[in-house]
Amino acid sequence: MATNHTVILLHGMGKPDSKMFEDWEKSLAKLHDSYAEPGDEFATQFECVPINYDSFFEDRRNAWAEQVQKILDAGVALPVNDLTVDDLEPITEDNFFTTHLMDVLLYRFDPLVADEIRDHVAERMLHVIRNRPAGTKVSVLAHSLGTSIAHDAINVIYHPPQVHAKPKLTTGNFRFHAIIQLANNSRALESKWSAYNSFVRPGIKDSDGGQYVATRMLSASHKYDPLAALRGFNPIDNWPNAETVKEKRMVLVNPSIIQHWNVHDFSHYLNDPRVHIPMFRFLRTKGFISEARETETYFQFDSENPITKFDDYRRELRTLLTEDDKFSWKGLVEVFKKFATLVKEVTE
Amino acid sequence: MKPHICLSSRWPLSCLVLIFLLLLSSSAFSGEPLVPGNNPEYSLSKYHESGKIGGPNDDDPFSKEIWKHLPQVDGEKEDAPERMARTVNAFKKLEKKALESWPNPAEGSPQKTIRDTILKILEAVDDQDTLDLNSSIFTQSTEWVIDSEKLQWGLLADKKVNFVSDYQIPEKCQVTDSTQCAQAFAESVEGLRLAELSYRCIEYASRVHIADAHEFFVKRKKQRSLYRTKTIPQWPWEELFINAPLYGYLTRDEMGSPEPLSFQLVILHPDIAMEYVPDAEDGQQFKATLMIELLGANFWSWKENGSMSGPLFGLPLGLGVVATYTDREDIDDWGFGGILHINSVLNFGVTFREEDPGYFVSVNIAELFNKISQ
Repeated sequence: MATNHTVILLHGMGKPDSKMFEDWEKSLAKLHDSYAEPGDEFATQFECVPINYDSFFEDRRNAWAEQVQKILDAGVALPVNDLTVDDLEPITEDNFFTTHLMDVLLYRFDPLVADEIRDHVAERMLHVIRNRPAGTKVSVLAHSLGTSIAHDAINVIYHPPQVHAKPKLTTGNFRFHAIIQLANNSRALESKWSAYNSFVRPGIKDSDGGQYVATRMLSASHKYDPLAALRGFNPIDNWPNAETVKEKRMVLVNPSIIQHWNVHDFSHYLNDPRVHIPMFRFLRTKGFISEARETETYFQFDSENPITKFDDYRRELRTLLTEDDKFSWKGLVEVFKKFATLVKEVTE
Repeated sequence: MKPHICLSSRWPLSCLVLIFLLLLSSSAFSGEPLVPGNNPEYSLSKYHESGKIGGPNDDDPFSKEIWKHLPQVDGEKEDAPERMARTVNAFKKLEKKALESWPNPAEGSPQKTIRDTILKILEAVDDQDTLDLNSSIFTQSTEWVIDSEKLQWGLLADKKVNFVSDYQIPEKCQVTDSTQCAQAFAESVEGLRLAELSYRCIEYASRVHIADAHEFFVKRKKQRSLYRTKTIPQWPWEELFINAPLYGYLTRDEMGSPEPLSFQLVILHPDIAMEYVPDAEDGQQFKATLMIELLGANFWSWKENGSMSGPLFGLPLGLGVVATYTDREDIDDWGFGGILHINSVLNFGVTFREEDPGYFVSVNIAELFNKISQ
C-alpha cells in the first residue's frame, strides 16, 4: 500500500547521523503502533524523509581548520611565535561548543550560514512535495534548532524575492498538513520573521486575508527545558485567530514530567504522551486515539515517572530557566554551558 | 434473496449479508469494502485519511482509472502539454461519471453541488484542451483540499459539501448496522471519492507553481555553494565581522531568499605564496612566504542560471593591498605591495622592501612546486 503522508524530519543542534534519524523513525513507529489497529501501522501510513543541514556548519569549521593547517604545514616563518596545531583545538575538536552551541550562534548571527541552510531546507522540502503523488500530505516534525530552521525555511518558500518574475507559490497551491515543533526555539532565534507574525501558523481559510501554511500546528516546550524556555514560543490565547483555536488546530504543550536527565532530548519530548498523543491525532485524525486510551496512557506514564524521582534535578533546572524579559545572548550562552555541564555531571 | 425480506425482523442476518453484498457490488468486488463500522464518522475520516477514498490506496476501479492519468513521469516538466492533456482527460471522465451517477440531482443536494463544481472546473478548459489555472475557480477557492477531520469541500464560495452532515450520517446512523446507515455511508463515499479525485487532479495540474519554486531554490543553492567554494576562502573574522554583516545589512529588506552578493571584502587575510625577490642573497631569492592581504575586494556577477561570471572575460577579478613576511638575510622581512586575484584562484602581485621589489604567486602553484621539489 502506498503511503499517503510524508513527514519531513529536521534535527536540532549537534552532529546527526543516519542512525539518529532511523532511531527517530523507529520511536515514532513504536509509539504510533501501540495505538494503531492491525493493518494500520505507521509504516503503512507514513514515509519519513530526513533533512540534514549539519554539513553547512561542519564544512565551515573544517575549512577554517584546514586554512590554518595549510599555513602551519608550509613551514614559513611566522611573525607569531610558537603557533602549533594544538592551538587549533578550540575549533577542531568535537566538544559542546563546536558541535552544539556554535551551530546555534552561527545560525542566528551569520546570515551567510543561515540563508544557505534555509535555501537548502526549502529546496529539500519542495523536492519532496514535487516528487510525491498528487495530493500527498506533507508534514514537518522538527526538534530544537530545527524548529527555527523549519520556521524560516517555510517562510522563505512562500516569500519569493522581490525580483522573482514567476507567480509566487501561495497557500492556495500547497499547504503543509501539520507542523510539529518539539523544543520550539523559533522565537528565541527569530531574525527577519517574527515567530508570532510570520506565515508559519495554522488555519484553513485564507478568506480573512491571512496566509496559513499548515492546517495544524503543535508546539511543545518542556517546562524544565532551559533551552526551550529561552524566549519560548508562548503566543497569546487566541493565536493565530479565534476560529483556528476553536477548531483546536493549534496546540501548545508544556509537559513537566522529567523522565531522564536530558530534558531537551527529542526522545524526552516524544515519549511523553502529552506530546505524542496530540501529535498523532494531528498526523492521523482525532479519533485515532480515544479519550479513554488517552487517560489510561497518562495514568501509566505518570506512574512510571513519579514526580519525586528527579526532585533535586528539577530544582537545579529551575535555576536555569530564564524569564522572557531577562533574555540576553550572553545569558543564552551561559544557560547552554550550565545545562551541558549539569547533564554531564549527573550522567557520569 | 429478495430485498423486501429485510423489512421483516425475522431475517436480520440475511439483511446484513445483503447489505454486505450491496457494498461489495458497489465497489465491483474489488478490495476491502468501506463500511461504516461502529463509528461511521470516524470510519469516513480514517478511510479518507489513509487515501482509500479517491486517494492512491482506493481500490475502486473508477478511482484507479483516474489515477492512471496522474503518474509521476521521470523528466517530465510540470507544464508539459502531455501532463495537462492527461489532467483534462481525467476531468472529462469525472464529468461523465458525475452526469451518469446523478443525472437529475435534487436542488440543494450534495450530489448537485459536487456535479455543478466538476462542471464548473470543465469551464476552465479552453479550446486547446488546456486547464486555465488562473481561472477564478482556482484562484478564489479556499477549500479545495478536503480535510480528513472536517470532510468538507467547496470550490465555489456559495456551494460547499460536508460529507457527514449533508449526507445525514449522524441521523441515519443512529443504528450503525442499518440499511439506511449503509446507504448514506456509501453515498457519502461516492461523493467524497469524486471530490477527492477532483482535488488530486487540480493539485496535479497546478504543480507548476511548486516546480517553479523548487527550481528557484535549486538555483539559489547553486549560487550559495559557488559563493562559498569558488570565491576567495574567508577566514572567520572576514565572514563573521565583515562579509556576513554586510550581506545582512544590504539584504535586510528582502523577506524571501536574497541573492548572494556579487563581491566580497578581504581583510587581514593570511595565505601562503611563493615570492621571488631578485635582490636577495643567492639561495634566498625564491621562498615560500606568509602573505597577508590587508584590504581588498573580489568581484563577480551572477548569470540567470545561477552560475558565476566576472569582469575579466567572464572570470571573477579582485585586487588588494598586501604585506608579505619572509625571513631573509640582509633584507627587510616585511614587504608591502598589491595583489591581483584572477578567478579567485590565481593570485599574483608585487611587493617592495624599500626599493627591492618582490614578485609572488598564490600558494596553489607554490604547493605544486613544493611537491615537485620534494
